[in-house]
Amino acid sequence: MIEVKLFYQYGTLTGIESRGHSGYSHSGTDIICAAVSTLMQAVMLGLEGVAHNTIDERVPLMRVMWPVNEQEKISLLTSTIAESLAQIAKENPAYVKVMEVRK
Amino acid sequence: MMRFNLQFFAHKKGQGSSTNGRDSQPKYRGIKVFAGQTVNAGSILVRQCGTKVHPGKHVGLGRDFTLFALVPGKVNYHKKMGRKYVSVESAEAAE
Repeated sequence: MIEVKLFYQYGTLTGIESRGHSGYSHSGTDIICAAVSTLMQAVMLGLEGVAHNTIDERVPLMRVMWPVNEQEKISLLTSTIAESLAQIAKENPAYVKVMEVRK
Repeated sequence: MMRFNLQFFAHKKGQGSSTNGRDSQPKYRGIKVFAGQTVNAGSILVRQCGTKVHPGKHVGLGRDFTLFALVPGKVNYHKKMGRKYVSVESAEAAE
Protein backbone atom coordinates (compact mmCIF):
# COMPACT_ATOMS: atom_id res chain seq x y z
CA MET A 1 0.00 0.00 0.00
CA ILE A 2 1.18 3.52 -0.85
CA GLU A 3 0.87 5.97 2.04
CA VAL A 4 0.34 9.57 0.87
CA LYS A 5 0.93 12.33 3.43
CA LEU A 6 -0.32 15.89 2.88
CA PHE A 7 1.61 18.30 5.11
CA TYR A 8 -0.23 21.42 6.30
CA GLN A 9 1.28 24.38 8.13
CA TYR A 10 -1.18 26.90 9.62
CA GLY A 11 -3.86 25.32 7.40
CA THR A 12 -1.82 25.74 4.22
CA LEU A 13 -0.61 22.78 2.15
CA THR A 14 3.20 22.79 2.26
CA GLY A 15 4.23 19.32 1.15
CA ILE A 16 3.26 15.97 -0.29
CA GLU A 17 4.93 12.63 0.44
CA SER A 18 4.29 9.18 -1.10
CA ARG A 19 5.88 6.12 0.42
CA GLY A 20 5.68 2.31 -0.09
CA HIS A 21 4.83 -0.19 -2.79
CA SER A 22 1.29 -0.20 -4.07
CA GLY A 23 1.16 -4.00 -4.26
CA TYR A 24 -1.39 -3.86 -7.06
CA SER A 25 0.89 -5.74 -9.50
CA HIS A 26 4.57 -6.10 -10.31
CA SER A 27 6.74 -3.56 -12.09
CA GLY A 28 5.66 -2.82 -15.64
CA THR A 29 1.99 -3.61 -15.07
CA ASP A 30 1.14 -1.68 -11.90
CA ILE A 31 -1.32 1.02 -13.03
CA ILE A 32 -1.90 2.34 -9.51
CA CYS A 33 1.82 2.88 -9.08
CA ALA A 34 2.00 4.53 -12.50
CA ALA A 35 -0.71 7.02 -11.55
CA VAL A 36 0.88 7.98 -8.23
CA SER A 37 4.37 8.09 -9.78
CA THR A 38 3.15 10.40 -12.52
CA LEU A 39 1.41 12.80 -10.16
CA MET A 40 4.36 13.00 -7.79
CA GLN A 41 6.85 13.55 -10.60
CA ALA A 42 4.54 16.11 -12.21
CA VAL A 43 4.52 18.21 -9.04
CA MET A 44 8.29 17.86 -8.77
CA LEU A 45 8.66 18.99 -12.36
CA GLY A 46 6.27 21.90 -11.89
CA LEU A 47 7.93 23.12 -8.68
CA GLU A 48 11.52 22.79 -9.87
CA GLY A 49 13.51 25.54 -8.17
CA VAL A 50 10.71 26.25 -5.69
CA ALA A 51 10.29 23.03 -3.75
CA HIS A 52 12.74 20.71 -1.99
CA ASN A 53 12.50 17.12 -3.30
CA THR A 54 13.50 13.88 -1.56
CA ILE A 55 13.65 10.64 -3.58
CA ASP A 56 14.69 7.23 -2.21
CA GLU A 57 14.14 4.25 -4.50
CA ARG A 58 14.90 1.69 -1.75
CA VAL A 59 11.93 2.64 0.41
CA PRO A 60 10.42 3.77 -2.19
CA LEU A 61 9.81 7.37 -1.14
CA MET A 62 9.06 10.67 -2.88
CA ARG A 63 8.60 13.88 -0.87
CA VAL A 64 8.08 17.41 -2.13
CA MET A 65 8.17 20.26 0.41
CA TRP A 66 7.77 23.98 -0.37
CA PRO A 67 7.81 27.13 1.77
CA VAL A 68 4.43 28.24 3.14
CA ASN A 69 4.71 31.66 1.56
CA GLU A 70 5.02 30.12 -1.92
CA GLN A 71 1.73 28.24 -1.64
CA GLU A 72 -0.45 31.05 -2.93
CA LYS A 73 1.36 31.21 -6.27
CA ILE A 74 1.55 27.45 -6.73
CA SER A 75 -1.73 26.36 -5.12
CA LEU A 76 -3.39 25.59 -8.46
CA LEU A 77 -0.80 22.89 -9.15
CA THR A 78 -0.37 21.53 -5.61
CA SER A 79 -4.09 21.41 -4.81
CA THR A 80 -4.80 19.64 -8.11
CA ILE A 81 -2.15 17.02 -7.37
CA ALA A 82 -3.34 16.56 -3.78
CA GLU A 83 -6.97 16.22 -4.91
CA SER A 84 -5.96 13.74 -7.65
CA LEU A 85 -4.11 11.59 -5.15
CA ALA A 86 -7.13 11.71 -2.84
CA GLN A 87 -9.38 10.55 -5.70
CA ILE A 88 -7.04 7.65 -6.52
CA ALA A 89 -7.08 6.65 -2.85
CA LYS A 90 -10.89 6.87 -2.80
CA GLU A 91 -11.17 4.59 -5.83
CA ASN A 92 -8.46 2.17 -4.66
CA PRO A 93 -8.52 2.08 -0.85
CA ALA A 94 -6.69 -1.23 -0.77
CA TYR A 95 -3.65 0.22 -2.52
CA VAL A 96 -3.46 3.94 -1.64
CA LYS A 97 -4.13 5.70 1.66
CA VAL A 98 -4.05 9.49 2.21
CA MET A 99 -3.23 11.06 5.58
CA GLU A 100 -3.08 14.72 6.57
CA VAL A 101 -0.21 15.88 8.78
CA ARG A 102 -1.04 19.22 10.37
CA LYS A 103 1.38 21.48 12.23
CA MET B 1 15.71 17.38 -17.00
CA MET B 2 13.98 14.92 -14.63
CA ARG B 3 13.50 11.39 -15.99
CA PHE B 4 9.95 10.09 -15.41
CA ASN B 5 9.73 6.64 -13.77
CA LEU B 6 6.16 5.44 -14.12
CA GLN B 7 6.74 2.37 -11.95
CA PHE B 8 8.55 4.05 -9.06
CA PHE B 9 6.15 2.65 -6.43
CA ALA B 10 5.80 -0.83 -7.99
CA HIS B 11 7.28 -4.04 -6.71
CA LYS B 12 10.20 -5.07 -8.87
CA LYS B 13 9.20 -7.97 -11.14
CA GLY B 14 9.51 -11.25 -9.24
CA GLN B 15 12.87 -12.82 -9.98
CA GLY B 16 11.06 -16.15 -10.53
CA SER B 17 11.95 -19.25 -8.61
CA SER B 18 13.38 -22.60 -9.49
CA THR B 19 11.79 -25.89 -8.57
CA ASN B 20 15.19 -27.44 -8.04
CA GLY B 21 17.37 -27.11 -4.99
CA ARG B 22 16.53 -30.40 -3.22
CA ASP B 23 18.99 -33.22 -2.44
CA SER B 24 18.96 -36.38 -0.34
CA GLN B 25 21.18 -37.01 2.66
CA PRO B 26 24.73 -38.24 1.83
CA LYS B 27 25.17 -42.02 2.21
CA TYR B 28 29.01 -42.11 2.44
CA ARG B 29 29.30 -45.23 0.30
CA GLY B 30 32.44 -46.55 -1.33
CA ILE B 31 35.53 -48.67 -0.71
CA LYS B 32 36.68 -48.26 2.89
CA VAL B 33 39.79 -50.47 2.82
CA PHE B 34 42.07 -50.61 -0.18
CA ALA B 35 44.19 -53.40 -1.60
CA GLY B 36 47.26 -54.29 0.46
CA GLN B 37 45.89 -52.98 3.76
CA THR B 38 45.64 -55.36 6.69
CA VAL B 39 42.37 -55.67 8.56
CA ASN B 40 40.91 -57.38 11.61
CA ALA B 41 37.99 -59.77 11.45
CA GLY B 42 34.74 -57.86 11.18
CA SER B 43 36.25 -54.76 9.56
CA ILE B 44 34.05 -53.17 6.91
CA LEU B 45 35.70 -53.24 3.52
CA VAL B 46 33.06 -51.77 1.20
CA ARG B 47 29.80 -49.84 1.63
CA GLN B 48 27.74 -50.13 -1.53
CA CYS B 49 24.30 -50.16 -3.05
CA GLY B 50 23.84 -53.55 -4.65
CA THR B 51 26.91 -55.70 -5.35
CA LYS B 52 29.19 -53.39 -7.25
CA VAL B 53 31.94 -55.43 -5.57
CA HIS B 54 31.29 -59.12 -4.83
CA PRO B 55 32.47 -60.99 -1.75
CA GLY B 56 35.51 -63.26 -2.32
CA LYS B 57 37.38 -65.55 0.09
CA HIS B 58 36.94 -64.80 3.83
CA VAL B 59 34.59 -61.88 3.07
CA GLY B 60 30.99 -61.71 4.24
CA LEU B 61 28.04 -59.89 2.61
CA GLY B 62 25.72 -57.97 4.89
CA ARG B 63 22.00 -57.45 4.29
CA ASP B 64 22.71 -53.93 2.98
CA PHE B 65 25.38 -55.32 0.66
CA THR B 66 28.18 -54.23 3.01
CA LEU B 67 31.30 -56.35 2.60
CA PHE B 68 33.28 -57.17 5.76
CA ALA B 69 36.29 -59.31 6.66
CA LEU B 70 35.65 -62.71 8.25
CA VAL B 71 39.26 -63.24 9.26
CA PRO B 72 42.21 -60.92 9.99
CA GLY B 73 44.60 -60.52 7.07
CA LYS B 74 45.52 -58.52 3.96
CA VAL B 75 42.88 -57.18 1.52
CA ASN B 76 42.95 -58.07 -2.17
CA TYR B 77 40.80 -56.93 -5.10
CA HIS B 78 40.60 -58.87 -8.36
CA LYS B 79 38.37 -59.17 -11.42
CA LYS B 80 36.86 -62.34 -12.77
CA MET B 81 34.39 -62.67 -15.65
CA GLY B 82 33.83 -58.90 -15.65
CA ARG B 83 33.03 -58.78 -11.93
CA LYS B 84 35.08 -57.17 -9.16
CA TYR B 85 35.81 -59.27 -6.06
CA VAL B 86 37.35 -58.47 -2.70
CA SER B 87 39.00 -61.14 -0.60
CA VAL B 88 41.08 -61.33 2.55
CA GLU B 89 44.27 -63.31 2.60
CA SER B 90 44.38 -64.58 6.12
CA ALA B 91 47.57 -64.03 8.08
CA GLU B 92 48.14 -67.79 8.77
CA ALA B 93 47.70 -68.65 5.06
CA ALA B 94 50.29 -66.04 4.19
CA GLU B 95 53.03 -67.74 6.40
